[in-house]
Amino acid sequence: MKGSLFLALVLVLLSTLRAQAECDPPTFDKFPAEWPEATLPAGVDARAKLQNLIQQTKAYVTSKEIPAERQGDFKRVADFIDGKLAELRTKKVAEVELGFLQPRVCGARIENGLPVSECEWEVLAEPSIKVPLPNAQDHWKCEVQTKFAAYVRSGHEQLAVFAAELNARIADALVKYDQAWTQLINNGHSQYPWEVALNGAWINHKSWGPNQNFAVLLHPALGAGVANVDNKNGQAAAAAILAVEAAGYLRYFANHKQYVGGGLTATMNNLQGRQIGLGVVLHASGFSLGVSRDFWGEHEDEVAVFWLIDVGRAIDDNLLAKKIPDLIKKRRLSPAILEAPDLE
Amino acid sequence: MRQLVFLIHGMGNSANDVLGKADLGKWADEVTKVLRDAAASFPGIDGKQLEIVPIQYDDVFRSHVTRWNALAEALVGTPLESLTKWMKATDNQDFLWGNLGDVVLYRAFAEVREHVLTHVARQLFEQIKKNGTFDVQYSIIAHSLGTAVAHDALQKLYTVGVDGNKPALQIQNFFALANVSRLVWVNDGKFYEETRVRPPDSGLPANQCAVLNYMQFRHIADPFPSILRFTRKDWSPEHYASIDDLDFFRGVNVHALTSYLAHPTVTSLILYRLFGEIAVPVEAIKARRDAFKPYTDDLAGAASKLAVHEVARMLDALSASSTGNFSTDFDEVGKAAIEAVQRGLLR
Repeated sequence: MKGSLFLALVLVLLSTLRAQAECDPPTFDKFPAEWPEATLPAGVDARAKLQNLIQQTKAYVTSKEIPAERQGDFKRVADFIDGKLAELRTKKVAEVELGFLQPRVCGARIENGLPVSECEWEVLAEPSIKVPLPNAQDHWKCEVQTKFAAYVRSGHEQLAVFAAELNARIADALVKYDQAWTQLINNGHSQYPWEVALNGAWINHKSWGPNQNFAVLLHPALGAGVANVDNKNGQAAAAAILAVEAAGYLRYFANHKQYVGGGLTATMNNLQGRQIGLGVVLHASGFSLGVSRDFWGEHEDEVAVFWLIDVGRAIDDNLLAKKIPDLIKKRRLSPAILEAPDLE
Repeated sequence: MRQLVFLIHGMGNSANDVLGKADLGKWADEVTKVLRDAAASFPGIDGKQLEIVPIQYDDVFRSHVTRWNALAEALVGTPLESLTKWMKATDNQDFLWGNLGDVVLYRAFAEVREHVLTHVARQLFEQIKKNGTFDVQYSIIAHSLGTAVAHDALQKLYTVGVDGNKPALQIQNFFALANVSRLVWVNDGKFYEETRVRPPDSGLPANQCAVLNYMQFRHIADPFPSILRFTRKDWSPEHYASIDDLDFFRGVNVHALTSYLAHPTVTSLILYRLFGEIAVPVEAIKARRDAFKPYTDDLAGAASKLAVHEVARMLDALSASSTGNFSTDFDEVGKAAIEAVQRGLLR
């Protein structure tokens, strides 16, 4: 008799140990090892919460935000969770929620700078707290809890995988668009503030990248020109050019590294004495070449070919951004035109 | 669950940052330390579960103004110098361009703004792609102009989407410190109707809401969020909270992010939303708040209290002049501002 009792006791002990070993849910250091049952609010129905989760999942599945080809996958996950829930229901698990709930702060209102403790409770994918020992001793209940956690976690994981696909697509596209912006700033035709404002006026707000088409408006630039090819003296002359592109157009290629365009420009130079002219300028990925005919000055009707420097574009290039304009302004190329022209 | 918090700075962040490159990310060090220290003061919070990711966008502003400066420099000594020399000022990091200049660039230049939004959205989604949505929740702490930038980026993501894809996640918490998202769009009469940066139970179906919880903080003497205040009476108090009575002094710049974070109510409530009531007990929040001295006990403290309250009174007068008709609000606010200043001068 004593032997039987001892054997039974050993079996119970072993069973308990086995149950605890199998059902030792993940714990977090921040929570106490044992959480008093009394802290669980009365009337919390974990199944109702899970049902709500499933309904949300189904609503998500049928929403237009999920690509049609992925909706089947989502539905299978939702049905899987739904089926397992029904399975649990048939077993009439009353306390399955224990260990899978935590107070959810989203429900707490803040009054006078302090939260008012009206926490809602939510079902977790895994227990946030260690299952209290009295329940862990119930092997069947423990097994159900573990399975339940696995089911829910599996569903969450799969949903997260699908979500990750969508979010990765967004991330990749945004990287591409952001790089296009960087290309535009670093390698595009520089814009004055009024041009940035103008081009922003017709920007496509539904796109994340820059426009393909840009206007050029009243765009000053310094450059160097070569004297009239039909110089009557037969001598070519080089000089600084100050150009103001009155209006122009630029078309960027898809990656915003290259562009082409052109516009009408006014020029001031002193290739053959002080001259003012009109001309055209062509742009191509950092190069701006133009030709102008002088209509005012000592040598009217003379033609100049000129090259303009895009200082803003070459901001990281010290030679282009600083030294060449300095050279021009220091009149090393020729007597310059740095003073306002005497138009009389 | 891991909490990944995006930290989005305000205006004038790059004031000491040459070309916006050298010190990228350093601005957030101090703020991160404050938040981490606050988290460490709650034994229930596992610091390893808190990840703070700074989001940078002022490099976009810098990229524009440094080019404008170069363009203007090149024209020095030419007949066009007088027409373009103002552009050189945009590169100066004094108060005007170092602070308000960012706002002007963001609000007045759609091209700059769209660039900023893409730049910010990219940084957000690079992290989301890297970390996934399982076992991690995402929150945003935005300050000043950053509240508008964060709002606008989320609004675009959740309405327009990116190449037809909309985010497959909800931002857990949107913390707005010195919230100017409404002020920046002062002339948008449908701002509140159309914003998706709202929590559930706020007039839109839950699946159209970009955030789960929205919480904002305002110092009573902070002029920027006070002129036109972000106020929602019809959003569910379960998900929306407005702490707009921060009354303390830790420095002249009450608008600074570090100033806001000096108040224990701000840090405690942020951590409460992130980690829940078990980790951040209400009693502990209350204890920290009660122990906090908003003003020093000396004469300087009394003077600063007087000054803060006087500024707050003027700001209240300005705010009260808001008619709700946004086409005329600017005029009304302007008139009230002049009157308030005149009253102050006559005293």
